[in-house]
Amino acid sequence: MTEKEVLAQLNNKALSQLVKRKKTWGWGSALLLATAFAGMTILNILNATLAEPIGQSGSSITLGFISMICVALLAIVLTCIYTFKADEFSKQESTIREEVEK
Amino acid sequence: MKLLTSVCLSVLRGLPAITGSIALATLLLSPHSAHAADVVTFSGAPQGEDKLNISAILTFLLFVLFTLGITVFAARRTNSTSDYLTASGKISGVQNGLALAGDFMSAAAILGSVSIAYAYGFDAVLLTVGPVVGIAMLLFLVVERLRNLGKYTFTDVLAFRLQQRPIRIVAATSTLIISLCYLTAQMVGAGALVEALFHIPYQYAVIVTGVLMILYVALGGMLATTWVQITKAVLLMVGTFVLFIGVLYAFDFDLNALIVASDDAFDAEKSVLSPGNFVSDPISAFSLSLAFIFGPAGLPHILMRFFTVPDASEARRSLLVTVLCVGIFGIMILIVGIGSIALLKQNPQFFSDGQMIGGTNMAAIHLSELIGGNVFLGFFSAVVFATILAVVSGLTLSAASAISHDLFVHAVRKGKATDKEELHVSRFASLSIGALAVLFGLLFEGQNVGALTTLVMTMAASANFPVLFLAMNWGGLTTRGAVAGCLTGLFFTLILIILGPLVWVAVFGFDTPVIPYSYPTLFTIPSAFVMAWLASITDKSPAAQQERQAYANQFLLSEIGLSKA
Repeated sequence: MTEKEVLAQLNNKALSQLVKRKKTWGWGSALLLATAFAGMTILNILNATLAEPIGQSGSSITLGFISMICVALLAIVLTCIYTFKADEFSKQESTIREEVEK
Repeated sequence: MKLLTSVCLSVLRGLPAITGSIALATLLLSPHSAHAADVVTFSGAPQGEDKLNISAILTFLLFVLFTLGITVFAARRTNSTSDYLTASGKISGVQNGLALAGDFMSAAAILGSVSIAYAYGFDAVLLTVGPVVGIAMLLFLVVERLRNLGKYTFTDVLAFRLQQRPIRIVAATSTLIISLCYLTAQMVGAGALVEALFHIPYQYAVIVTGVLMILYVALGGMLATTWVQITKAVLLMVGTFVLFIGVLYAFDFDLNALIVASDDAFDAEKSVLSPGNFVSDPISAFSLSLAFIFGPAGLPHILMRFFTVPDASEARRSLLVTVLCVGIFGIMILIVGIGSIALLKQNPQFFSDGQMIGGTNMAAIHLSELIGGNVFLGFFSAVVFATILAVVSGLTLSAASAISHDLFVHAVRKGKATDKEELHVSRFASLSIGALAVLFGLLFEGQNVGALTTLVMTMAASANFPVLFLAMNWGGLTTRGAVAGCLTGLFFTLILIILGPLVWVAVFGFDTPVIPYSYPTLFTIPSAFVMAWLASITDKSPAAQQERQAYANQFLLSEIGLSKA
């Protein structure tokens, strides 16, 4: 495939839309996970410095511990969703590419 | 199944390769040195009384026999550079996912995390959840474009539209420094661990590790390295699961009871689930988090694995498997670590003069003895050694690929080497790197190598990740920017770690460090990004203009994989 043909495909509207959607999914998932992880880190930093730590009264299982489990689960769930979504996009891309090549 | 059958047949046919394991058996069964006996006793016998653990030796010999069989099988199928460095992209997503999980579940991950949970409680979370987040980030931001643009190493992606020679030389230098530092840390760790576990002298332990590693890599290439890693990952998951169930069983599967008991045994003034016992200042906490999130996306031996699968879809699938394995492993390890506080402190046989025998790094090993007796102790110890072997093999292969593919083919021969020449150089580079690793392992005996592990993760996150990320996502990056960013990340990390507590105080012996932070990622990652950006926008050369214009083409190729069409 020549560079000219590749660039012609770049101009294909449906394909560009698909690439944009895939990028949005990737960046969105990364941002969501990074925010959750940063939140967990900030909570732990605060709890390490505060005289009365947040969510640590009464129970042996603390808020920090629960937030850690939640971040790990969020990473797993987002990975699953993104993998299936990206596979779906790839299938659509192949269909569009076949149409363009015809 | 077909592969397993072939492997078994290869084991039967490949007797010459098995002589290595016989040599190993001779070493393992040789009389123990007094020095080794002084370190620690794992047989449940009183300290100082030395006794062989037959279970450990049998498990380890079985592992060595099986993996050498795989190596013989793989060697017969390795005829080209593509076979050698990437198994010709024939590894499936699930297999690659397990191998990647094996890379993440290193001996440091299991012994270090349990040790930190035992000594500091909740802060072990960073070590167990951090890698899971890092792997997910790798999937969201890097892997698809990396797979679509690269061939053997991540440098292929950098050199896609930038000038080959300067980029290849700088990125290969970074790969070699990272791999050698990591290899040295692993070899020193392996020597000390094997000396303690199997009662053989440190020097023999390092040499045995080095010889096996060279055999796997030089003969079997990526196919053997991948299967060694898969075997070890499965064994380690099984071992950790048994440990996890054993710990929960001790508390009648009541997590609350486990935490309360560990809290009582932990520290009179602190709670086991209180953060800040291990990393107390906010800068170090954020730095460590950044290193775990972005470090994996800059580790050459991790990135190289994505070229072993047929396409981007399989690369994504492999990360799904990795996240599941490492996530489950992390949660199990955290529970095991916290449970070990209550369980081990009730058993004085694991302590001498108030200190844990062999140091807190041995908490997981002691726990395995407590839970499964001598047989499980032997199995678990052998799996930990197998873990080290598998990780050093992957590191050696990535260093060899930097020498053969980036330096020899592209920097020296300007892309004009034949496939056979590249294969020969790759094998020779594997041998040389393996020999160098053994030499460094022997030279650094007894040294504090903790700084090397921190250095590796920080360097990968600061030198490789920013440049790789910009090359794939920012059309304005030029060769000058990429070189400046990579070198800034590399040397700034080196300087800050040398001036920090890990080297300035722990190695050089000064009272106070020049830089108060052990983990400098919070400063080094932004510096690398800023330098790459600054050097790129000030580059007005015609070559830079061409590089910027080539981004549109690269973008499409990277997004929909047309380079493979």
